Amino acid sequence: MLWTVMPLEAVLDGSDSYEPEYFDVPWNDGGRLIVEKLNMDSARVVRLISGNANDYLDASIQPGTIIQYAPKNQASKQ
Amino acid sequence: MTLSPRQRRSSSARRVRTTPHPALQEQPKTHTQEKEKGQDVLQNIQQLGQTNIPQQLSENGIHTITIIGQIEGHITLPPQNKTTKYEHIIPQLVAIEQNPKIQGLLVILNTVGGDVEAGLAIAEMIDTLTKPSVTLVLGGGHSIGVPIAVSSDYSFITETATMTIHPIRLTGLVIGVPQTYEYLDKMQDRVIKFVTSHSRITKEKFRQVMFCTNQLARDIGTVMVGKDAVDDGLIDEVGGLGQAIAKLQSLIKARESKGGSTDALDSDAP
Repeated sequence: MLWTVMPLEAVLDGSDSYEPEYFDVPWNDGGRLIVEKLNMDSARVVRLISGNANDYLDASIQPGTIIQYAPKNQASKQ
Repeated sequence: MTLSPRQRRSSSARRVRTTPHPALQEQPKTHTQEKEKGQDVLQNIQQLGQTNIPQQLSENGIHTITIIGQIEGHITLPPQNKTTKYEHIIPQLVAIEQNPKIQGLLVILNTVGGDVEAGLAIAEMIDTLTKPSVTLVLGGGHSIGVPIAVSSDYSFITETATMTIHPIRLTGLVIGVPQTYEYLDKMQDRVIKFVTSHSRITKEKFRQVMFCTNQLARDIGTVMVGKDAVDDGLIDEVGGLGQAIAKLQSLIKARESKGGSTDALDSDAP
């Protein structure tokens, strides 16, 4: 139940059409980050799932934060 | 980095893949290098208009939480909304309660309202913290922002900030039976009970301002500006950031002098 001063048609506008893709990324010891991919080397944190409450104090993984990924060097793995 | 408007949007998971995308299988880099940290902060400012506030944690023992935009609860809101996600705030409050380095909590509000249950949950969590807490209403603390504003040990509102108090209403299909109205009244009573038991405003006064008909053009209710909220007993004092931090530090000192600090509790442990 929403209780807001904003008109509900403005708040809920576009809720039917917006379908971004999300991915799971392992985080720390058993935790997970749900991220929205932005491009090949960055993603936005959408949600943190962790049993360690202190993880939620980590500003670098708060929802909305952009995280960077290291490009994978396939040749070095072989 | 240039991002399209669609990429700039923020939202919660609606469709989650159980296996990581190949491009995302790498672990995120740890932001150890100063250059990377600088870039992260810059990106946060560009994307969110905020920096990483908890970095100040170890220096002064005050943890800051900002509650902005819509308070997002059970329903993921579309991307044009700025949201505060309760599933992140609630465990954060658990960590604040448990972390011995944190001595006090400053909650800064600039919210247009949002999910009733999520807002009340956050308010109850702040209320039941054993550590000192201060809330500061900046800009606006409307609708479900009101219980959060009064949930701390001491509350401030800036001179120009406003708080809109108006009735809760249902959206979507509404069945026109007496039970519907009774349910709505119960929801409203939950809010009224919390607000009146955590501030100086009386139930009668709160209901009076909530159902006022000559204040708002498109709605019933009342807009309280700065001092009005203090005069009506909703907020403790008119003040800004300096006063809020000074008050929080005095509350922390008072708690320490009573032996209620986390360190003191730790030393009592067997």
